[in-house]
Amino acid sequence: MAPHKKSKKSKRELKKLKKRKSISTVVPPVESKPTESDWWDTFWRKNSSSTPGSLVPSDEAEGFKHFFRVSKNTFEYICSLVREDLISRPPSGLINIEGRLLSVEKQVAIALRRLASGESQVSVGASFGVGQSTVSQVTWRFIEALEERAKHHLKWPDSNRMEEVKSKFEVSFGMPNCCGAIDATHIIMTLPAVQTSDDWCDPENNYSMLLQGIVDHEMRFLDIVTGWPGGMTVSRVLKCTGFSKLCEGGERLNGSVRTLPGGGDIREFIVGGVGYPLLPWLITPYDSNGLSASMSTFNALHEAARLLAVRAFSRVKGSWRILNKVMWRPDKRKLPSIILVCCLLHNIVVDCGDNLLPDVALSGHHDPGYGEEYCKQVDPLGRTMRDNLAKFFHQGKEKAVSK
Amino acid sequence: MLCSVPPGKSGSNWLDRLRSNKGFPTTSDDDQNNLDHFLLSHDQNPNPNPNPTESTRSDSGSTQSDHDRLHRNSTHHQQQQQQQQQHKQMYSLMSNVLSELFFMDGADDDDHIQSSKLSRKKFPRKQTNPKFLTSTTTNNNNSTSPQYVTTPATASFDSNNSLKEVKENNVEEEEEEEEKKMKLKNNKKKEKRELVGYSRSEVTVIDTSFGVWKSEKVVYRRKNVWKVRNFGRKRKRMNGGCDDDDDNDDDNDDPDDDEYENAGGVLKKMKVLGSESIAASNEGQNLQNDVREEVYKERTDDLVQVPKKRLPFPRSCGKSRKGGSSVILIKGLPTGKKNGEKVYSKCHKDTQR
Repeated sequence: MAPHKKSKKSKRELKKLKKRKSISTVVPPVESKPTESDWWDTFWRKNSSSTPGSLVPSDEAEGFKHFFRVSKNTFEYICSLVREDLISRPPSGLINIEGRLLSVEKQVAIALRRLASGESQVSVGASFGVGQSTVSQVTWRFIEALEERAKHHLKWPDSNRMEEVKSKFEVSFGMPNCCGAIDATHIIMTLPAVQTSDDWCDPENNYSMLLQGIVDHEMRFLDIVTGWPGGMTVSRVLKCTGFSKLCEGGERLNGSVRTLPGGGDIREFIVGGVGYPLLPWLITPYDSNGLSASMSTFNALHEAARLLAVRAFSRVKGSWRILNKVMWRPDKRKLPSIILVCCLLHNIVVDCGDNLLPDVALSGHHDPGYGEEYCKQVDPLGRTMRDNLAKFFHQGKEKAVSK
Repeated sequence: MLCSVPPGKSGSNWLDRLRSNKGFPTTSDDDQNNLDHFLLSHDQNPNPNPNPTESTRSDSGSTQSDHDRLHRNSTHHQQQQQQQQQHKQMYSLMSNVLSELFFMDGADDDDHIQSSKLSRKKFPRKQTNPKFLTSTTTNNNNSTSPQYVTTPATASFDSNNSLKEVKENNVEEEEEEEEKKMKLKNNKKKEKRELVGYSRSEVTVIDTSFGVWKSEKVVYRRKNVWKVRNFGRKRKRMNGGCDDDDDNDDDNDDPDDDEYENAGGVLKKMKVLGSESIAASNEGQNLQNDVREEVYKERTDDLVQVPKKRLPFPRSCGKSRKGGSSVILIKGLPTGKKNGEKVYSKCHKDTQR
């Protein structure tokens, strides 16, 4: 008897059935398709010595950090966060070349590697033995999962925690009642011709999306805003933010007011660069022209505190290099999620106490080539507060000198 | 039209069926008379006092005389009033039944439109221009207040949707609502006019200060003037967000509504020199890498931009449509983010085969 040929249609139906089964069952059958648990060994063997020019550490733990930016423990923690989402939705694409189901660990590793390296999906896929489409799917699923599951890693501190932050700022920079530092960066991309709009064109003629963040003394993001087009100035972005509205409404940075020894009240505030307006809750430096001694002292301390935010962005863009590369025509609805997840990962790393490898953070500014904008908006209350602070710093300096 | 359906002529079969379906006794002369009577009374006396507040506003005597002049039989009219009370239940039942079968100018309308028999006959099957009705409705009504002018127009506009149930709403409330709607429309039109010359960008913003982090906004820009509006996500998904009218009402209470002017001005001061330049060479890498994403985007755009009447599927899904039932098709509609993705992946595979 001639072998029975399966028609295309029946094959398709079979596939559909399989799909339905895979969707309905939460855990795929392990016997027939064992999950990959030895992904790291395979990956390490494949990638530790393949490229002679690369600076892959010889130590395996360091190597792990080099590839994924996180320690193994933190990696496990991230897996635990997203496990439910990545397991419960096994799509057709989550099978590697050998037909084995991808473990949650491998999925997380693929996604982290894609975000960390910013390398093409093809090359990331090649390093894991999966196809480009798998990398694409896995990465997006990971992003969707983490942006929901890791929200608790990015939140404005409660009053107790804020007291701690303020005291750290005071100890480190002498800033009383300082709650954080604010800065913004551009995530550069290319746009298809049909979507090309001047709104996205920033002052450096790049198409970009803005990311603004407020960080604490540990460079942990306390608040971020992203998605606004690069054509906006940072001061305008600030105006659009919920943070600004909360502050203006007295619902944020509304903690106890400090009275300085020399006189003058200092409410809770954050420090920002010259691109931001001078407000009672956002203190910017003095204009560099014609500075008095007290102004110079203030500017130096202010800049030191503000650099926390600058360094935080350098770290984020250095750790998750997908943000530091020119994104090739990204989906502008998805890009904010990618940016958010990178910030969440940054905070997870900080919260878990991982030390970054020295070569990870960007050595230069996070927004190279960009001219710093200067916002002229000055609020009289903000000016008074800045003067009070300058006086306070100057007095402190004089005291220290006299001793 | 109610009168255009003579119960005797158009065959008793359908009427019998109708009656039996709805539990009325069939082909009884009395019943038929009752039904005729009911139809007549309903039609000849659309609403003796449709607006509860009318009596307070207009002279009741003159209103009564209008009716007398129209019907030329005041006693009959009084009886009808009484009968209307009695047959109210039956009326609502029957009008429900009839409205299921025929286009009627709306049971709803009867409550608040001052329309005569004449105007009803002229009532087109489709409301091409609601204002047309407005001019005719004033025939039998002395009170020519602007409320009456506006209400029938908008009410008749709504009548297409009011075939299913009879509502007895407060007319004034409806008028107020209609006025609000009109105001809103006018505001939108104004806004539309104001935004002429602005470029428009849809943005997805993540702001961790808000309760819901992710929100869709529309950014309008003309030079240094920026305007931000909220954007209804559902509408956007369905229509591609191309129409300004799609902007939801939330504009009004949205604090983002401000016009962001170039407060203070912005000056370029100094260059930040970075050791690491933005690598144009990376484009090559990403080119390979994101080809699929680009295709995906175009695909999703296709899905979004298909006009409403068409099924929002790319051609490649035709195969699966042939095989599947309409139920499956409806299931496949991209109602949510994830669903949309699934549809895409399905379609994409079909094309690959």
